[in-house]
Amino acid sequence: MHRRDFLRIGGSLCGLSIVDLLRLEATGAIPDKDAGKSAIFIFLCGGQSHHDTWDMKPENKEIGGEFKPIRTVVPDLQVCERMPKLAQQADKYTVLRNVSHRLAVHGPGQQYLRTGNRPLPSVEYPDYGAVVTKELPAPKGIPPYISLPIARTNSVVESAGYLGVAYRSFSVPGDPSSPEFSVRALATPTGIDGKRIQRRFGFMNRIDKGLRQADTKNLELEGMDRFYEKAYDVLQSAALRAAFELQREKALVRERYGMNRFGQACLLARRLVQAGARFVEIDFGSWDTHQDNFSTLKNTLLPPWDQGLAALLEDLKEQGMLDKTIVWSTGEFGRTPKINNNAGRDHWPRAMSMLLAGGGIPGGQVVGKTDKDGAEPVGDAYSPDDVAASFLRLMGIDHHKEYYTPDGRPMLIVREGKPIKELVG
Amino acid sequence: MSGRLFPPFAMLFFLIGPSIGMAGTTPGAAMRWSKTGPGGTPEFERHVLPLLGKLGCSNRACHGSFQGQNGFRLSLFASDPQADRDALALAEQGKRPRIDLANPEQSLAITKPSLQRRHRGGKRFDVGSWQHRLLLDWIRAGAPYDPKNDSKIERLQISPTEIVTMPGRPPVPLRLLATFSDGTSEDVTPLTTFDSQDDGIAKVSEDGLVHAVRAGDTGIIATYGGRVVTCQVLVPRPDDGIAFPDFPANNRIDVLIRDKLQKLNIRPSELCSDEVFLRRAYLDVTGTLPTPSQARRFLSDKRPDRRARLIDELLARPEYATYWASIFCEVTGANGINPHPQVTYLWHDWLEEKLRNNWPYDRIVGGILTATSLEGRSRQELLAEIDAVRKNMKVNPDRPYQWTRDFDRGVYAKRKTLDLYWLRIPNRQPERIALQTATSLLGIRLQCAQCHKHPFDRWTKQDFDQFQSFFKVVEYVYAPTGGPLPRKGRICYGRDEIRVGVQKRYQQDLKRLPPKLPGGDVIPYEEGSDPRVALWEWMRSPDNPYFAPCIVNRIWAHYFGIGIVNPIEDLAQGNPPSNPKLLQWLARDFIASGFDLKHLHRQILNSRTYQLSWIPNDSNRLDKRSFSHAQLRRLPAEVLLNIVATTTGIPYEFSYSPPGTTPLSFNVPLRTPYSLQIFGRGPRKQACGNCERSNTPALNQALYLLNDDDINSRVDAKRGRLLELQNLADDRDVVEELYLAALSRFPTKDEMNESLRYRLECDSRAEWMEDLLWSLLNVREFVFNH
Repeated sequence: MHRRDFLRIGGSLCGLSIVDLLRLEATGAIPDKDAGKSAIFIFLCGGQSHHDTWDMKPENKEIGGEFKPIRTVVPDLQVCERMPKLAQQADKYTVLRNVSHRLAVHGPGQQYLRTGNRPLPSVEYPDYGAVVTKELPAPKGIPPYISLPIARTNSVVESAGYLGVAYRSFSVPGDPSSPEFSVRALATPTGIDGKRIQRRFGFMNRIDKGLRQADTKNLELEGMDRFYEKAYDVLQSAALRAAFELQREKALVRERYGMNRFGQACLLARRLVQAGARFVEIDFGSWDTHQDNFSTLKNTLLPPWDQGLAALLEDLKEQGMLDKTIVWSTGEFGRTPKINNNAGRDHWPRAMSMLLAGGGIPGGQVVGKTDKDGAEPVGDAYSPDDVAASFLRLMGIDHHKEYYTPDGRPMLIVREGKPIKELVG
Repeated sequence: MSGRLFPPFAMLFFLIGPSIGMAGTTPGAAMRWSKTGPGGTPEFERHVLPLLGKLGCSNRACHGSFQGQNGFRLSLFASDPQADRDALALAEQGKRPRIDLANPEQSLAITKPSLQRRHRGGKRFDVGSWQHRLLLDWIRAGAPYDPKNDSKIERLQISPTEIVTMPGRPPVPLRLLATFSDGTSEDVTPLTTFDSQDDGIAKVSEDGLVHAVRAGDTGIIATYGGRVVTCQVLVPRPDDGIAFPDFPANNRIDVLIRDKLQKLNIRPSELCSDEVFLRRAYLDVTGTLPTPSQARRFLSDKRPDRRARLIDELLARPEYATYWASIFCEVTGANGINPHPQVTYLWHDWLEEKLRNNWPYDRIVGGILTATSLEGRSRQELLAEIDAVRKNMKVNPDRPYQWTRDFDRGVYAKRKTLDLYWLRIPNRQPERIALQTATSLLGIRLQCAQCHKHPFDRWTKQDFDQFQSFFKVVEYVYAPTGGPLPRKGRICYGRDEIRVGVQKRYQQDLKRLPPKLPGGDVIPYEEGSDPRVALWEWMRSPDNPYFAPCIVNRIWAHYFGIGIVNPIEDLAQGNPPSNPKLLQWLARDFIASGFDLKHLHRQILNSRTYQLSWIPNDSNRLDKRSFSHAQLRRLPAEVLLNIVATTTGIPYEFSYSPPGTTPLSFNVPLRTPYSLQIFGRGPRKQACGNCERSNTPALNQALYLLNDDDINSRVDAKRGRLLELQNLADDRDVVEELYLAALSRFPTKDEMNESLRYRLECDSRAEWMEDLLWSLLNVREFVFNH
């Protein structure tokens, strides 16, 4: 290992010797086996075309587009020819083809799909990650909610909504496939070695006396102290640093995920869950293919998505983690059956598809269907609220639990949804 | 008032006989429909509905939920009597009606809540109880309801309005007297629903008996017939034999604070030191820290009125206007989503200009609420204005976040009215701008009334709809220049004009639901009139119960970290102030000053109460609501980053912002950087003033201060303040300067020694200085105002 790498990973942070680190890694921050479930949420910002992925209509020439369907390992399911790797993993996931809503604008649509609640002007709902952070504990030194933003469309950023900033994610915006990848808050600045950091901390603690008059208790102050302690834990968490260190994986494994930003983010997500994170989110835009839908999908979007997601499912299974890890890949809406003059597809929330896997969700299942144009569900239709309710149920969280907004308004975590029987059993 | 009506001794008899000493009032329902009472036909709105509310039937969790329960739905909080009467008397398809006129005893409305039949809601009353008899008598009489002729409630009084009691004392009964449109009055205590704001302090029983739980103060909220009244409960600490200290009042605020503290047996903390006052006042008034030389000057000032002088000095500083303009940007929901990010700066500058010139608050609000683009001028003048604002604007269309030149910001700032408030795209929905205005300028939460009656206030859906109508008397005109406007980059300032008029889609609404002041008159729209002016006149009239209390409470909360009413934008009847006299006095004094904001700031800042130490004593450690000591407050995001910049001497840079933007003046919510976001600066998406802001600590914040690039890159001996300090030969001077810069005080002897000793641990002087600065940014004293 080069000295520079060694520093960036923080092997010697806070004066811990490498022996200490290994010991910590072995004992400290590894989660309990029965800690419950975790989730990896892959958000396809911009809105993925269902016609060109999960819900193909080859018989309908006008709307079908240029891709052909292929068989998967599941007899009932055919998917786009540009998803060959996912086709091989079809026994591990459920495809919902009958999700439907009415919000055809990115902002509100994304809020809807990221929270399970139709947006209201008077309240901002928390993302799933924030809810999970509030409900489920994570081991010491591991942030429960980590987001890996790759690209976001129309600037809808994550939000802890009425739960407040304490429940926001630990956001890691870098490119994990880059050799220069480092984590903003974990990076050690050049010229500052472990010895110096330890010294600094020591000195700072010695002079931090200003608000420490004997015999005073103060919630705000204690809260900040607690977060300083946690931050310190995070900074010196060998497990967290190790999780970010993708070099520890065999080259073969890294390549299986794809040596690109999304693929390595999927691998990183698996490593973070392994270290104890409860909710890892990958925001992977932009699927807003108003123009050149087919060439963009073919050349830019589908290959890394297909490879990364398929590798993730296969790897989770091999590692014995799939039963405890829910994987959910969705956009904010589907796209129009009609192909516009720019060879693009526009926003279409009335029908959309999504993938859910792991955590007890049956594999090899296709739920629901749409009409011949892929424009509307036929038969049962599910709302994003229903999927949210199912997801939370599977995570072991009561989706009807009531929170209060800062101004005292009671709020159910998910207001409208009912768990979907095909997902929760 | 009611104290005289019901002297305390009379209340002792209340449990025995409610009618004692109440000549002319109908005995309470519990008496009247008891086994031995006279009974009689109850009225639907007066007796039956309140009873259903009290029994919990119309709760959100039961039949009041939007889906109802088991096919039976009541309006939430009994807001729709007719619908409720119908729900009881008429059957849904295939179901039995809830009441059975032929066999009253067999009515589901009787048998289910008395559990003679299965009821998921459990038992609500016993057979033979007065509740049972009341309902039965009503059904026996044919379940009458005559909305036209039944008496309506006109007034609800609670007695007493203040209770001082302690744990272990006998419970204190509350009593409610309702006066009706037919001139009768009735003791409605048995039909009233009671809630305690904080049942850790005082509990209230179903019958309105209040008993203390532990020392503190809270309110009891009593609801009957859609009316809400409250009673303040004060639970003093046990006497510990220590006398109430000398607490000389600097002004009326201190008198009113002292009165309450004495009642609660809470002793105020000491006056804070000059160092603490200096830092606190600078941060609160200007969002900045004093420079080391400013700090030295104040700390060596021995004049007795040095604090008052500093207050005047701070209120005259440009940073006062800059910082408070940002605060009012948040209050008014300034957001550049549309029309385009940078335009928010015009909004900020308009407010900054008015605050610098200390425009009366009512005039500023008038400029916002009654805005038009023309402001009575000719079209040519408007076009000239738009041109002047945009003249210098050059934006690289490929890189709109890079500003090459600036708006001419002075031109817009001089306008009389802030038309951007109306031009903001989300605000073109009347519903949204109505909510924004009601919440942030009046402290009225109408969100509930979007769908149902407000549970703890008087507002109904109809009230909300008619309030909304004030915001439907504007038209948006595209391209006032008469043709498409040249787009400069992504800046479309001047694309639309707002004027008074009615869009076609709202014409019917306005006839059906003419604008109506909350709790006041209807202001019909006529061609050429601007009902918004009437709304504004109503707001600034001296007896308006919302407008002045809302702003004085907001500013109070700014200085104390907690309002007299909390949440600060919720002046609902069911959310009483922790010190009603104080709120009332502040509001009156503010109105009497001619809505002079600086006068209000001065009153608060000069009070002894503001200048108390944050260090608590044994008696006031837990107090937050009575202002017995200062609260430790984590600095607001923009203030914290501003002082990181000034302490290190290295400014922040912001995209989509003009050169020279600081964290205090930054105002592009859509492009809020990570640093401001994690410290809780809101995105200003919701229709409220400050509900999206958070000043609570979080993990990201600690990580940021400990180890973010933003911090690490500013702690650099080759840059900023540290570079300047290299010239100081004496290490002691370096320590002193850094303490003054970061904490606005001299280091203590220990701190000086510790710092000098640390020099020996470091490899170089530069390293030592860096570590010293880094440590000062991370001690809690830096992050908190205290």
